[in-house]
Amino acid sequence: MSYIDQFYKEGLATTFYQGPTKFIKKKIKNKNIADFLCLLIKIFYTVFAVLFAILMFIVNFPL
Amino acid sequence: MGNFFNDLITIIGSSYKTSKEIYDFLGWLFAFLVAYRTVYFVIGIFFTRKFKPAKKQHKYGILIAARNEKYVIGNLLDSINKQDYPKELLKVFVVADNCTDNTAEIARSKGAICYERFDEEHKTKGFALEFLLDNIEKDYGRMNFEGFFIFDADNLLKSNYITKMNDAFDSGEKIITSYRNTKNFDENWVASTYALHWIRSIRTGHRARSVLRLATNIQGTGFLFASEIVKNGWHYTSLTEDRALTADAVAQGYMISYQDEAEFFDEQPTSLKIALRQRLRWSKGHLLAFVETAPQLLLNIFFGTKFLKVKWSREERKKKKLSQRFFESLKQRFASFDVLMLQTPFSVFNIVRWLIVAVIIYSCYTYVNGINNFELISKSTFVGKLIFKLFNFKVNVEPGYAALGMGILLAVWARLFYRFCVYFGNMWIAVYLFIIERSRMIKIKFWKKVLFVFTWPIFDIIGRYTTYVALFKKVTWKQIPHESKVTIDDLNKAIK
Repeated sequence: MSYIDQFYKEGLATTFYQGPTKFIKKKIKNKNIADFLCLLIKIFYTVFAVLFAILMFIVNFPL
Repeated sequence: MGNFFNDLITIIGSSYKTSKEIYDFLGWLFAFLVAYRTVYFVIGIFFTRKFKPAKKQHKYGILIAARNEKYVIGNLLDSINKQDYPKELLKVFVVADNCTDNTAEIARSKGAICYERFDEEHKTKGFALEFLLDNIEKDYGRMNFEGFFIFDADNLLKSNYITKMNDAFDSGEKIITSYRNTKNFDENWVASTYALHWIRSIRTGHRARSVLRLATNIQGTGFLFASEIVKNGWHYTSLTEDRALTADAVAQGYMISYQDEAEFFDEQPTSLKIALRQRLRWSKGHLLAFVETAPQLLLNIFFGTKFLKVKWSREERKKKKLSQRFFESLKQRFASFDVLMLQTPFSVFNIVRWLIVAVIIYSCYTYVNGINNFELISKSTFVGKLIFKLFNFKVNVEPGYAALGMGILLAVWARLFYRFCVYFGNMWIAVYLFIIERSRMIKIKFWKKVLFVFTWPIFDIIGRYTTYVALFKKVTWKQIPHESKVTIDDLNKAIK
């Protein structure tokens, strides 16, 4: 499994990306709308993860 | 006499400004030395090293040191017998160490080879392992096995544990540690602090070090090492044999990897008294490991691979290009530095620094100069800043003995307040771990999670104070009782 796969499949992604994506695919029958929403969630998760990483860095950095 | 004390206090107090500069510089230096770990934290949020399926199934010995473990050893051996790995490639060795119950009988009935040892003088787990590996050499030959696993009797393994560890071993890793989960996470707050600590060490250390191909630390149980490490026997008999092995392995040029997919469960203490006893032993062991291994690690930092003792490493290095060797030397230096930072008892250095400058010299300074606008709420932490916004008090005291006494009190208050803010601030780590690791934890009620978030900082508080006590107290090895009847099947159900 590549590191990019890990980024979207494990840890925070299970809660903030995989979970909502599965929910949308299950609830929305129109494939185009579902795909679009999944893409939005992917973008949201990517931005969120990067911001979270930066925040964690700042909070943890001891200097 | 009165004048002598007066002069002495004045002289000590006059050095306060210089001492404070040194104090601040040391604080900055300690923080700078461990600042790189922030990168580990960030990597650990998202990534860990994954291993390809092994091409070869290797032959392993499994070593279990057990003392009066009749309640738990059967379940561990059952979980080993249920492994999806060829049985003919595994041999289980148990050392029934000073047992007064039927541990040996149970081990034999479950197919393990059991050696019994009775030695009340040499009581650590390290001595038991030394005895076990000496007997294996006599009866089977240590080098007839490619590697050895070490488990505690209270462990339980997931059915694919050995297969996954074999994947890592087959990739060329010589020492590999694994994912340590907890059997009794929700039993009480004491157990939960340990459980969170193990997950924290995975998220903030093991994962990132495995990605960066550095050496992580072995944590007592649930690890595999190549038989060449014990070619000449097991020599780690101190109170914390894991720390000693980690430091020695890295000092000799080995890296220690981590396999996230190999998961085992461990039973944590539920009594505060036993937890304190165990933490005191760890603290003493860590201090001893630092004293024993720091010189070799320092040598490695400054001289790279030059003083490495391991021959296989040297022979392999000769085959490599200059650029590769340079890179490896750099990696070796950094790994040694990383382990040294892990072993270094910063809390001891900090308390000494604080006692000398913030208590003694500062109080002498206040005796001469008085206390002027001392802010009771320090803004050096996030929590401190928050409280400062709500309220603040300033202290003023005229020069003299009252100021000296108040100076001591204020130094103690400032320290306690700072530590409280740090520990309180650390609660968010528990929240983070509960979210990020929820799929691998046993199911825990929400109210318990909230409770455990609040009790979690106590783990680090205990660690700090047991380190101070360990400096002065003689510590001997005492058994940690295990009585959980949980099986691996129960845990598999609890996690689903």
